[in-house]
Amino acid sequence: MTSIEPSVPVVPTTTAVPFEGPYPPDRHVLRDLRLESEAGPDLTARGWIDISDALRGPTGLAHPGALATLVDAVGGGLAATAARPDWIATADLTLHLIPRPGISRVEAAGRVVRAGRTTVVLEVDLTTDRGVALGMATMTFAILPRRDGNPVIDADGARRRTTMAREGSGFTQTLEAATGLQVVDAATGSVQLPLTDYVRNTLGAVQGGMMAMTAAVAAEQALGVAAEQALGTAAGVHLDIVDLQVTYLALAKVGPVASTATILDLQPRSGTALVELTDAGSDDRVTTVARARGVRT
Amino acid sequence: MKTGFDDPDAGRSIGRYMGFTLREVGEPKPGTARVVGTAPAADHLRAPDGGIAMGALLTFADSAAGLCGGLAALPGWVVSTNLMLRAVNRAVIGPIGFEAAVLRAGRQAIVTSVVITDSGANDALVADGVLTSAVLAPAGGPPVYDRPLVLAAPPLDPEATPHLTDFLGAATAGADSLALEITDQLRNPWGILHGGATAALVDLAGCHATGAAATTDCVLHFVSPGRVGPVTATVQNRGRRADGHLLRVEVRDQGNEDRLMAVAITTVQ
Repeated sequence: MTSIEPSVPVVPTTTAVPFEGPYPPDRHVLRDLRLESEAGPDLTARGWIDISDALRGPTGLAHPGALATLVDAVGGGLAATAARPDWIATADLTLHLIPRPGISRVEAAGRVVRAGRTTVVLEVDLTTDRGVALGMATMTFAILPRRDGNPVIDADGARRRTTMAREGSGFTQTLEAATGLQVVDAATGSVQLPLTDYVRNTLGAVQGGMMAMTAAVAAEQALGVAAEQALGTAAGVHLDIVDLQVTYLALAKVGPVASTATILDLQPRSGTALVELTDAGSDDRVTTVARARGVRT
Repeated sequence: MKTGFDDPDAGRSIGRYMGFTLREVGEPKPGTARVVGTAPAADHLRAPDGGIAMGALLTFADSAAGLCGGLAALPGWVVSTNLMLRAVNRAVIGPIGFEAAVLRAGRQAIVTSVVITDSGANDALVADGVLTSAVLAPAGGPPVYDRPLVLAAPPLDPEATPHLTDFLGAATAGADSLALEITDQLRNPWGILHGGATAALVDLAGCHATGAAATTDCVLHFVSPGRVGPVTATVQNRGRRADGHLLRVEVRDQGNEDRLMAVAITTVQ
């Protein structure tokens, strides 16, 4: 298993294989997010990340990709507990945000809405460090038969808090730079995310939160250019992504993940884009579709 | 589960009321399908602001994408588990067109895209979404259809057709909630409350609780069937932003031990 430096160039990697060692590896986006979490026996869980300057956009809002990754991590742990002894894969993730600039910490509180034979559905409430509502998320997980290599979830009834952070964890550059995400063509929402250990999930594919981040960045780029053209300005227009509806169709196992965005709607202060994510190294297989809504805040 | 699949007419009341025709396109093949449809942009389906009600759009989406998923799932059939729809422009001239296609067909779930357009405005986009459905095995076997399938609705009499709110029987249950009874005309072929009726109730409840004109965005998770009724949709307003109120709507079957039926996140404006 290799680790990467944050500034590595975008290169395709080998076909994904599940992690053999502890997950996540020492250098991983969940560690740099300094994710703390705790879960209890009542199928609820909470998680926290700090929003440093590197995780804020031009208008001071928290990066939707960071929030989606927090939601995915908290929800994933909760769903894995609910699905024991089987394992899970993210089927869909929705994120709805209320713009709150300048926050420094986010709490995600998740609860299971339904735990069935084939799926787990849950809700996640997001609040600021001052207890102010920041948004809501929902997730559906498909239950998969347990395979060798899937993590073992301990659930002894005790509620304890753990942290992903290691010494030196944290962002010194933007989420895009840290993950190696590159904008190829902003107007068409074309971005690329390499599949590295830094963004892998336990199945060896790109983590669900990172797919959501890629979709959010693709939509933000395309909507920004479209708004700029509509307003006839070259000054730059930024729309903050406040809604994400992400449907996962297949795992991105090879990479890089490539995006295209189609503008569905553009108003003076808002817009909606449809984003398609493909696995470029796997015959451009469509892995994810997402609708993203941006607003000028 | 007792179903109405042996009766090809069962569960078609909502389709007739909405006036939509659905047609399977292409050669029937296992594991995939494409369905197109059309419906009049009738007055009884319009919201107070004059646009087509989001409840009607959600019902079109659920019906077209559900049928598409069901055909792909044969010899199984499907129930809706998650409907996501974003309305772009509800000021529709009509007629309304819609198209559903399979994005992914798995053993346990089918994911279907759905696009709704305004045929009277050069097929301008009205709404765009995704339906995820769970694959089940009907107790009496799957529905038997001639393929390619066509489900046609008879012409509507505008004078005798009640407004959507009245058709649903939606009534105020509180300042933040609406309720309806599960009448036979609101049941689907599984014998449970039609997903479109649940979605329309969510739309109406959000507007009722906030005074907003319309729902513009809806994510709806169906978590258990509505069997008994009355069914209540209760709204929590989670915050305001530039494009409207962000709401959480909870739908419960009061007659079935107040069981949670659905959870929705909506934006109304």
